[in-house]
Amino acid sequence: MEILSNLAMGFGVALTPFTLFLAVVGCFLGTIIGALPGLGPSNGVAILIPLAFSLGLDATQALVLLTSVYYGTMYGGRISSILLNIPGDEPAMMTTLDGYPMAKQGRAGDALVISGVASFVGAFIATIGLVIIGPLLARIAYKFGPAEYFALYLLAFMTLGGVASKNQAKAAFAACLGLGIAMIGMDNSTGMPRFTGGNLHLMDGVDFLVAIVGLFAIAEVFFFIESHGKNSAIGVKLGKVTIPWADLKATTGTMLRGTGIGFVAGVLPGAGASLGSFMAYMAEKSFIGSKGNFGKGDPRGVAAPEAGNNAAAGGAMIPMLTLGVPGSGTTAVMLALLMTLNITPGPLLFAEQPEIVWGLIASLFIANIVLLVMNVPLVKLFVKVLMVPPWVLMPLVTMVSFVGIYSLTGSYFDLLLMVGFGVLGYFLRKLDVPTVPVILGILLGIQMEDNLRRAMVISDGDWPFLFSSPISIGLWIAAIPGFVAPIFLRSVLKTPVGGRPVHGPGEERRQCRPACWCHRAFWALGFDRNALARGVALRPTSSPSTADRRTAGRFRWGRGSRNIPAPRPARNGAT
Amino acid sequence: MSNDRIFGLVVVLGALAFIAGALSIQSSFLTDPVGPKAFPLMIGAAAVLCGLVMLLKPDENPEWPDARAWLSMAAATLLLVGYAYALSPLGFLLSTALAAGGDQLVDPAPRTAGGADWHGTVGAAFRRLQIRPWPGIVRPATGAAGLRGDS
Repeated sequence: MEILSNLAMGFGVALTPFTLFLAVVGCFLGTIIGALPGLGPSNGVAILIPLAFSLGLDATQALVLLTSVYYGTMYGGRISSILLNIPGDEPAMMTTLDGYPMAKQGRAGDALVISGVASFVGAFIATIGLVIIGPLLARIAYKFGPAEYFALYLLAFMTLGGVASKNQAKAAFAACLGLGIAMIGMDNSTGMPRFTGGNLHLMDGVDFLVAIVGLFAIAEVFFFIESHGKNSAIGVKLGKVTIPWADLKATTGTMLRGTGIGFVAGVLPGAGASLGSFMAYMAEKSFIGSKGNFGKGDPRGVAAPEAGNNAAAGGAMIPMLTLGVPGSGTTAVMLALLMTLNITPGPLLFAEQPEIVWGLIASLFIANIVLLVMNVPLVKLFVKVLMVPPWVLMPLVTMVSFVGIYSLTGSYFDLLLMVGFGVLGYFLRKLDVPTVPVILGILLGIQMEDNLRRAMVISDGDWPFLFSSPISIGLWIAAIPGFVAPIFLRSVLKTPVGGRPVHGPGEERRQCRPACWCHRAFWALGFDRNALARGVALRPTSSPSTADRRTAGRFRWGRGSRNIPAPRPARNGAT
Repeated sequence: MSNDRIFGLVVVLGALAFIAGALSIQSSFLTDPVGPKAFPLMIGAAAVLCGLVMLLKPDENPEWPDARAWLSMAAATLLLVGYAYALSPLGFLLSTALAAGGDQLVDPAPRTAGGADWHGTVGAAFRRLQIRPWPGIVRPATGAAGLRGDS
């Protein structure tokens, strides 16, 4: 019953009036950030990190605030998915498939309640999973030496590349770019400057918060300008919201299955919430079979992906906390937060600073309950917030990022660097280079090198030492197929047996490409490829009216995603 | 196609420059078996490989924005750089007010041909520059539709 006493301690830390207040504020902000197309979980948390510091919060308080924001964004993404047919953030993509048809049938309120409850179930059970698995994994992680950590970091980069991009070379380049940027500054063990070009500002290296806010938030501003600002959601109406008990009862099984799948997807390095919601939806669809009404407003089609993505969000915390290796973009940002707070995640964290770990876990439980209350009875409030025009929003994002970073570093040079990262992020995303590996590289680069060098010191320069323990051999063996398999899967998918699994040029523009990660993941799981084409093609393909064009433009800006290839504007579809 | 080839070339050249930079790192007399050079060299080598793959197996070109959007983005970049420089001498309030005003000038909304643009004649010159002459809030009700661009 060690877990229970630990949990009690965590609640003791997290249940002060001020932290409760922070949890409520964080949940509220998070839901808004999630609901607004274009601001996803990683952007939202990234923008708020500097702000949390300038408010002078201590470690536990900052963690409570930002984990509430994190969970809040996962809840909030569904609102615009259901009401506008635009995912508010990337993991909410699958929710549009059945959520929007439900809204069209006048059941928007039902869809919002079902998805809210599904989010709660997913996140709550995943947090329980974190409580149970986290300490176990931390115990295993005790056995990790420098060689094992080096292999683990390598595994994270390899598998992240496998899902983050459709082009392995680009994903690998992104990781190299991040690692290269991490090398800038003074070398820890010899004190020699590296790649500074004599610039004193660079002696301390590039602050990863600067890079994160630049790559995520400032780049988003450029995408907004490119999309010509066709992004407002004025005129959305929502009727009376009641609780559909019958539907909730009917979708209980769906929620539990979605939770299980999402949780596993979250724990795996590199997979993250988007894959969780995708797999949960697809698995549910094949589980129900032809009895279901998927794509036409089946409540189960709303419950499964929402349970999946929220469970994955909780699951992704496990590798981040126990090993210090984030499983997704947002957990990478959370890792940045912990490192800025001088907390090193890893097995030692559980032993040495249990109040932080368990306080964090307790705040996840609190955030969940707050979010359930906020997202079911108070959902109308957030629908109103969606109507904020983006030309108000984007200057606000810019201002918050600038002021946040400036208050943290106090240097105009860092602001310039941030703008530079913004421009870089824009071009990288345009060229289909994922930005999450860049962030991960900047975050982990120094530690990866340190572990390599420490391993070499231990073994006195004997390189085979890297492969000497069973754990490290296992990690190396896992890393190689993690990187290589997607390449082969992609070439298999290029010439599928039954014709191209996707969508001709005239179809809805919001479809993925044949080699995108979801197809690959789907294929790898052994599902029927064509089911995917059917699932994705079930989006409304009505004649492209003005509203549709606006939606499409909004989506372009709002995809908020580094994992999904840019939606290609239909050349002959929407003319 | 060609975009990726150019990008691949840039990556290869950049990685080679990075390797050159890594080779010029000075080791101190007190060093470990690996030293400060080895890891950057490994990264550089991996990046060269990635660049070569991009050069040889390019993807399709992305959809690039039109010239007006480029102009807006360039103006926005200048504005952000200016904001960065202004923040410490001018203080937060003044520089944010200036930047927010400037933000409104960088017009993200395209004008529709024949739309109800009441300041059409006045704004013609500004429009060519993609600059909004007055703050967006000043826009009247008829202009609000034009703000979203497509109704």
